[in-house]
Order: sequence, then structure tokens, then C-alpha cells
Amino acid sequence: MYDFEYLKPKALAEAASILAGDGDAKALAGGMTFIPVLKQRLNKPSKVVDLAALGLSGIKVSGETVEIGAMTTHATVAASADVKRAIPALAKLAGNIGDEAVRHRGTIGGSLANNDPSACYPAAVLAMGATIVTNKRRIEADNYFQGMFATALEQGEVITSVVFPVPAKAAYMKFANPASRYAMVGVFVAKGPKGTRVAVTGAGQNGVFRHKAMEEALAKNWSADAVAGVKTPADGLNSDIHASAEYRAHLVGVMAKRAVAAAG
Amino acid sequence: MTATRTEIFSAGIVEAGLGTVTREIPAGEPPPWPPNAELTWIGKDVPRLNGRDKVTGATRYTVDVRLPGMLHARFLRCPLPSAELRKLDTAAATALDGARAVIALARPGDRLRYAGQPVAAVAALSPGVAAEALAAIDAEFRPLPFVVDMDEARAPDAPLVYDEASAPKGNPSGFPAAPGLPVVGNVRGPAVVRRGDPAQGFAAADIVVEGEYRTQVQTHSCLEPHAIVADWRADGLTVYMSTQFTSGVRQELAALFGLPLNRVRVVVDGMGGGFGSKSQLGVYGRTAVELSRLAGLPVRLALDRHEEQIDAGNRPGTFQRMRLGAKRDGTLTALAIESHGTAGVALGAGIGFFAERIYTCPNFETLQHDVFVNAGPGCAMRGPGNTPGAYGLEQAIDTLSERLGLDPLALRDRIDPSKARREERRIGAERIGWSRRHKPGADPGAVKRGMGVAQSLWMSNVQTNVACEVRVLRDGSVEALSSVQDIGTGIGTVMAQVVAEVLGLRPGDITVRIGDTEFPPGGPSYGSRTTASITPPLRTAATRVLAELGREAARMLNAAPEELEAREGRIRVKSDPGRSLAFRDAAALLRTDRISAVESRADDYPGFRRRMPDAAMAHEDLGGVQFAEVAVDTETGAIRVERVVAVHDCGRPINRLLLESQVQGGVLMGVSYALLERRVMDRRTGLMVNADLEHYKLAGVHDTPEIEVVILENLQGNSATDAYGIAEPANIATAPAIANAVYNAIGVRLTSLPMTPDVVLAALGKTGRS
Amino acid sequence: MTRPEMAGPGKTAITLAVNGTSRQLELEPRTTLAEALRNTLGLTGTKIACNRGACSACTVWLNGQPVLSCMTLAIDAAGQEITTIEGLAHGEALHPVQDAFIEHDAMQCGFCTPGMVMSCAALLERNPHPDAEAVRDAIAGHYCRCGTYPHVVAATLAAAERKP
Repeated sequence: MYDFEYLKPKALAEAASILAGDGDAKALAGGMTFIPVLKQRLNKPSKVVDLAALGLSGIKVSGETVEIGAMTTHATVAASADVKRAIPALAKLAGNIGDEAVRHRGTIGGSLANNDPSACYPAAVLAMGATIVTNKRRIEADNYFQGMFATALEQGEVITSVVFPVPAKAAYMKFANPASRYAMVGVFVAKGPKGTRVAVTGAGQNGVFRHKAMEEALAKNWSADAVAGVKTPADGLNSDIHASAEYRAHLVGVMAKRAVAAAG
Repeated sequence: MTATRTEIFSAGIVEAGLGTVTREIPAGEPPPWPPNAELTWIGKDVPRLNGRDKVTGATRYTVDVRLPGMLHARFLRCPLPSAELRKLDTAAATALDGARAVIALARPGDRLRYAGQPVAAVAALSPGVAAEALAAIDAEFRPLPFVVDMDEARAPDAPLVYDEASAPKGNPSGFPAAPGLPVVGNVRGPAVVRRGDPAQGFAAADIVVEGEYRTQVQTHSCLEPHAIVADWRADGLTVYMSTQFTSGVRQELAALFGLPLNRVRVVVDGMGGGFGSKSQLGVYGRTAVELSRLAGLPVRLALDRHEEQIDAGNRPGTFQRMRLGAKRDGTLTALAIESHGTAGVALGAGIGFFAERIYTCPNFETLQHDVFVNAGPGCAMRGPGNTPGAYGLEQAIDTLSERLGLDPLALRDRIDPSKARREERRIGAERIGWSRRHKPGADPGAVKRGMGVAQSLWMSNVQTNVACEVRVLRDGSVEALSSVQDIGTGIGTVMAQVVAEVLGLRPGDITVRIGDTEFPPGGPSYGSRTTASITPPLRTAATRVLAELGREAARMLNAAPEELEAREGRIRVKSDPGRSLAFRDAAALLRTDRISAVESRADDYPGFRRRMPDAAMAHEDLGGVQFAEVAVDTETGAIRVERVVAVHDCGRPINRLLLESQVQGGVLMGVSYALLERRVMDRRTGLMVNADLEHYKLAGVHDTPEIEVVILENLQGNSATDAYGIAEPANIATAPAIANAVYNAIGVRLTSLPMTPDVVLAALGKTGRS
Repeated sequence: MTRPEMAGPGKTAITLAVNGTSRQLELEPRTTLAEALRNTLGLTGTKIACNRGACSACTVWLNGQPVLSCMTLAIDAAGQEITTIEGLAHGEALHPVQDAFIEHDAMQCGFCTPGMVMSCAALLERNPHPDAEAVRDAIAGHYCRCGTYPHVVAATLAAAERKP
């Protein structure tokens, strides 16, 4: 990797101002995707702003919401008794990201800021209609994801937490890429305050997306059979060395069916 | 004529009932060993003696070697799959502050034939400066037409990788390919093996089975990359290298650099995997030595993971077209196979000798072709040839058994002459529960289970250019020495067991010194030959030093030397064990500080099936039978291998714990080959797409089935230890056993590797091909 | 300065707490923890195999938790307790996982073994009596080309049984 200036500010405002003031400055959360990008010299940051000392980790559960600090690691979310109680599907999702060591470093904020098209968290955020809280504003999930590796975040905008409304029912099923363990296809289904929603990750050429046809079917009849009948067109889905778009389209149906069955 | 004597050896498969065999053996050979049950250390689970170093991180691998003043080297590699080097100017690199040596490995005008081919190399004070120096090299490449797909390369109008003059020539030994074969376009061959009259055989058949099978290119993916630290000095060359063959590399270096053998030393302590890919010096080895010679300083050259995947060897891909003729009772009348395989720019993409040897078939023919493509050179990988060969033939046999309405085991009982495999089928069938096996596709439900079997065959290789030394020191300490390297099998522990058995000590009492050409030549760690090669001379050497020690002890004990035995740390009178001396007290009687015996590998007592320079092949091949049980999710296409029973033979097993490890490893590599691994070349760019470990998938723990390992004790009275190898047989049968189990599960035969979920679904007609 | 607020580009003095000892280093911010351990501190027990977080050979502990040292900046590890394979044993007494690895032959070439040991030992520290599935989850990110997984699982379960 190219060398850079490393900064580890202790105040959010300081971090935001460094990032806002320098377009080539990059934020470092857990580093699980950022470090490989640097190693491959795909990015040449002037400054790397480590967000680890900003006090952004932690989990708060109220009656209706679960708020997770941006720097909370996947391992912490997976192990949280509060999250397991309120949104077990979310704890389970976190516990299946990458591997043990990755989960001890990777963070929810990092995952969402990066918006990898096959990351798991975006599916949860979109399906449950979560709110992304930044140093500047609150962004609804439907407005946040803007295509692969693209988000509504502006320069200098730092995610501070994510607020999930607690759903009545929710489950996530992922068919992991055998090598990277990213979702080849992941489907998150949820029925809650934001309605009946289905989000698909890993499959779309533009990253995570809502599966409207399945949402309609489930709104009428919450059952595995209801989604089993919904065809997913292969148009707009990814084709790569691991699977064709057609195969992914088929998997969306299978994972959705299994997710609904698991959600009960 | 050397003096001989006659001995009677236990012979046969211990599990199936032992007999004896009488052998005329050289007079200096030790007496026959009884079956393992009557021995103290041989055949037992002895934990590896260098285990502590491995679990504490103390083992020093080549990548861990740091010498004072050591430089760091890197390659400039061709970025294109086919190119003419137009310009190579290294002046700026040479002038760079911190660069110490720069060499060109190609000249302007040279044709470069694969992406990743080394073009130049630099050695510098740090890896960072080396990278800068590489960037300072002014190299221009003129792109040329290329082909990376084997099928496309066979087309008459395909871009040519070589012309007939430049194509690799093969080797008189036949490995990796025979010399003197024609080259037409990108296709070299065929190499022909024929016996009987195949046409007549097919005419006489009641049933003919045809099949086409395809195997992928697999990379070795050793976790320790190819690495060398070369230290060229006025008084000689020392090389630390992650190598499977210290003494072979020494010979290569001496010849290449015009040095006497006694000025070249090759050392390896920890060796982080080889699987065939670290058998030779290689371009990287040569380059590091040359850079060290130029710079006058030690040079470290370790490939990074990307280089490792594109230019450190691979298992060639194959396409096999097979015809099998049989009588209604299963008797084979004819077998004909035509294969095309690709080892990239290299040779050796055949299907081995598996089909040639495993079943009784009077009329036989193979036509094997190498197809050149613009990709990194392939090389031997765990069971080269036979692994893809078994994948094809063992599926064809499975198909034949179904067409004949015969159980696959019953068919093999009819056509397989190997006694060991017969016993292995019997044991394996019992362990896996073969009687539970249902008809193909008969499992109801979305997850379908199935069971399959496949067999293994590999040659019993012996390196004859091998010697071992055993020393006893006057304080009673013992050393066993050989240049042999521990590739991960625990050969040092095996050596300690052999010496301990002879001297009546414990394996931990023996200090094993290996991995250094200062010691007697230990032979290579490839071809499943290490144990077979070095344990017999080691036992003989230990027997000889014991005899010398016994002469001293005999005087003290008032006994004749031949009345003594070494047991439980003592030298004692056989008929009166109370009359004894502690081993160390006997050693204290020695007239010198140290006694020593060096012995070389004697021929197998019944001779060899075939002799080659420095090596030979024993009469009986190695067998092995594996059973697999799979579950196929017919909604996602995911195959899970739930269980594998692997029953193998390796002559006399020396260490069952270590053997079990090796067999598990062979099975795992086979699972990985069957389900996961595949080098993907981009047809448009000619580059490898997954040249890493993020997208090139190896089997992990969640892909691991329950593996039950059974090792037969197959005594033959062939050598002082009667031991042979196991590494390769353990890998050969796995993929076809899984493929046959998948067929049994879903009732559809998959004929290409790897069997990924999308391939399964497409075969089930649920989606199109990806 | 144990937690620099600004450093680099170029070499910067940092302090790392490695195996209970405070070590002063001069490093560029881009240096990974794996590189710092191996190249600067000579602790070569930690291995680099894929260098991209895909194989877990480089696993060390940060504050007792297994992390990938090739995916962590050394400077980011300042102020945290780093434990490497060299620091796992207590003098001559090996960690129970290390003993069990030897006894069950949970190694072949041994290159993945240090990382594997660190993950399995971390598992037993937080879950003294795991089942086989928990062990498999703990090493799910590890690649072993020799195929030692069955013996690694058996060894870790045996070590757990031996723990009080």
C-alpha cells in the first residue's frame, strides 16, 4: 500500500472536519475491506482517519428500536443478549459475517459506508427500514443505498449509529460465496413497523434491492408458499465466476422461501 | 557376488490372515521384523517430535530466515498472456539508491508466452526499494494473439503458443512427458500405450459404455509460498529453500553454476507445503542465486500470493473421452481412452497410468495429448495424471456396473486383481454401511443422499540414491541424519521410531537431523516415496551401530554379541534379561566419542519392477479404496460430503497417527478438487481471474466430512522395513468417489469438475448452464 | 506516545505491548501488524499466507480476541494488548491447546498451525467447554492445505475436556 498520514481523532467533529476538508482523506473503521483495497493500491489516501477513538460503539435497546453504534463490531452484535432478544435475526446475521477474526474487527458502520453489493448488513437495514444516523442527519434506508459501493453519504459525513425498528417477524438466509463467505445471495424478510419488506443482497448489479413482488405476495399471505410462487427475473442480477445471473435468480427464491419459514 | 542368506518373512495382509514368504537377502541386511503387533514403536501412534516447535511458532520456515545484510528480490513479470518483449532497459533500476542487483531474464525480441512469465528481477535493500526498482525498469511489450482455453487452442486456426522448434521436448524418463512426439498446432502427441487389439475387444463386448469427463486446473496453493534465501560467498553457496528435494536442488545448483557439490549446501527446516510444486530449483531459485552472486550479499526471494497462483505450478486440466467394453459378467474386453490436457506452456497434462494398470483388460489403448495454452506452467501435483485419470475411469466403471445390473463392488471384485484393494473394499463397505445404499435418485425430499465408491492406484516408488547415518555418542545420545526434508508428513518422527525400535530406546531419545545436504542424501519428498526409501537403510545403519556397541557390551556381560538384544533402554542377554547394561553405560565403553554407520538403500529383496536413474518401482502398486456419502440440496445445488471412509495400504505402516493425518489431507484435497477449486482464466484478457485465496476457494473446516481412516498392514518381505508411501493414493480416489455418490444421490451424472452448486442445478434442469 | 493522534507519512515512533512486554518501534503508518511482528520484532511465528484476510494464518490476539494481523495496521494496535503464538505458553508449560495439538497430530506442514492454535486457544478462553460445531466455527476462516481440520477439532475438544 501507499504510505499515508494516520490520524486517530478523539472527537467526532474533528474527524468529520478532517474528512470534509480533504477529499483524499479516508475513514478507517474495522478495515476488513479497506485494508485490502489499500494493499492492492486501488486507493491512495492522503490521510487515513481512524474512527476507533470516537466512542461510537455500543448497543441501546428501547421498546421499539435497537440502536447500534457505527463502530460496534459484528462479534459484539452477534453476542449481544439485547439484540438476540429484540431482533434475533440481526444477531444471527452478524454472527455469520466472514469468520471469527473478521467479526472481531469489522463494524456495522464500516459495512454500510462501504455498501459492498454482497455485504449482509445492507439487507437487514433495507428490509427492516432502519435509519442511518450520521453526524449531520438521519437517512432512511430507502434513500441510503445508491448502487454498488455508493451511498447517500456526503464528503465528511460519518455514520454514528443505525436505528432498527423492532420487527414482529424477521429472518435472514444467505447462500455464502464459498470462498469469500460474502453473500452470493442473501435475503432478509421482515414484517414490522415499516411494513412487510424483502431485501436481497449479493445478487443485484446495483447492490442491495427490495423485492417488491415478494413483498406484495407476503403482505397478502405471510408464508413460504407465497414467495415460492414468485419468479425473480435474472435481468439486472450479477453474473461472475461463482454463479450466473440465472442461478442467482433461482437462489433468491430459495433463500426467500427459507427465510420466511425461519421467521415463522 | 555379495553374500546372501535365506530368511522367512511374514507376508500378506495382517487383517486378512498372514502367510510367509522366503527371500534370499544380502547378508548385511537385518533380520525380518515380525508384524507390528510384536514391535514396540513401529506401527504405533507416536506424536511428531517437532510438534512443540510447530505449535509454539519456533519452527523456522524459509520465509522466516533473516540473514545479516540480506537483500529482498522481486520479479518483473509479463503483464500479457502473449507478447514480444520490445524493450528492456534496466539502467534506471540499477542506478536507484538501494538497488543492489538487476538481471534481465528475457531479451528484446523474445516471445513471452504467459501472463506472469518472469522478465527481469531486482534485489534491493528493502522490499519497498525493490518495488521501486521494478517500477523503474523500462519494459515494452507488443501484444500478440493468445489462447487460454484448451478447447479453443485445439482449433486449427488458434493462435500458436509454440512452433515445433520452440515447443518443450519431453524427457527420456517419460515424466512429465515422453520425448519425440509430434506437435500439430497447439497439440502435442499422442503418447500411445496399447496392448492387445482394442477393436477386437469392443467387437467381443456385450456392452459398451462411453463417457466424456473434464477436470479443471487446480493450483497447489501451498500456504508457505515458494521461497529461497540464497547466500553466495567466495567459499561456497548456501541456500535456504522451501523445497521437497534438498539434494536434488544441490545437484541442480552445482551443475548450473559450475560449482563442485561440496561447495553447495541446501537447507530447509520448516517446509510449508509443496504437493509437487517445490520439487525443483525453478526460475525463482536460479534467479535468487544469480542475484546473490552479483550483489555479494544474501538474497531473499519469496513469491507473493498472486505470483504463487499464476506461476508456481498447477495440476493440469483434462478432457477424457472413454470407451469401455465388457461381457455380461463384467469381464472387461476393451478399454480405450483419448485424452487432451493442458499444463499451460508446459508438458505433462496426461491421465497417468491409472487405467493402464488397475483392471484386468486384455485390449487396451490410451492416446494422450498435451495442449499448449498461454497460461502458467503446470507441474506434478499429488498423484499427477492418476488423479484426473481416476476421476474419469472410476465413473465409467460405476456407469458400467449400473448398466450390467451389478453392484459396483461386485464388478470390481471381478476385474480388479489387487488383493489389497479386495480387502479394502470389504472393510470399507462394512464401515460406510454400503448395504444402506439405495438406487440412484431414490432418496425422497429436497435434500438427497447418496453413496459412492472409487479406487486408487499409485506406484510404489523407491529412491535408490539414498543413504542414512546413525550415530551413537559416548554419553548414550543418538543421532539419525539424512538430507531428507519434512514436507509435513513427520518423516523425522518416523526415522526416530525406526532407530528407537532397533536400539531399544524411545523415539524421543533420538535426535533427528534432517533438511540439510551436509547429511547423507535423503531423496525427495515426492512420489510417495520418502518412507519407503529412507527407512530401510536407516534400520540397517542402526543395526550396524548397535552391533558395534554390542561388541563392547558383550565383553562386559560375558556373553557373545549375538546373544544380546536391545530393549527398554538396556542391552541385555536374551536368555537371561537380568544380565544387562543400561544403553548409556554400554555407550560409555566406546573407544571413541562417537561411532557411526552410513547405509544406502538396498534393492527391494525381490528386485524391482522397473529401474530408473536414482529410483525404482517396487513390484506391487499401492492401492486404496474410498467410500463417500453425500447430501445434495436439490434446491440450491449445494453438495455436502458428509462422510468418507478411506481404506489404504502402504506396506508396513510405521506411524498410524501420522498416516491418518496424511490420508485425511489427501481426502480433503480431493473434496476441494471435487467441489470447490478451479483456476479461472479470462478468455478476453488472458489473465487468471482468481489469482488469490479470496476467490480461489480451498476446502475449509465447514467443507470437511467426517473422515474414517483405515490403514492395512500389508507385509511383503521386501525390505528391512517393508514400508511404502501413502500421500498420493490418499488423494486419487476421493473426487470420483464423491462424483459416484452424487450420481447415486440425484440420479444424474456430473462429468466435469468442480461440481459447484450452479452445475448441479443445471444438471437437474432447474437453471441454465452458467 | 502509545496512542498517536497523528503519525506519518513516513516512519513514526510507536509502542506496542506484545506478549506482556512494551516494544518501541519505528514504523510507517501503512505497516500491518503482521509485518511489524515478523519483520521488525522478529516474531516470525505469526505467518502471512494470503495477505488478504482470507486464510487466517496471521491470527493473533488483540486484547484477548483473535484478529487478523495482516488486516490490521500496527499503529491501530498501539495501546492494545497483543498476544502472539510466541507468547501463548507460560514458560515451559504449553497452553492446553498446544499440548493437545501435539498429542492429536493437529498439524502437518505446520504453516497454518500458529494461527489455528491462536483461534482455538481463544475459543477455550471464552468458552471453556465448546462442542465440535463451536470449534468448527472458531476456525471457519482458517485454511489448511494439508487438511488437518479433523485433528484440530479433536485436539481442541480434548484440550477443553482437560481444562478444569
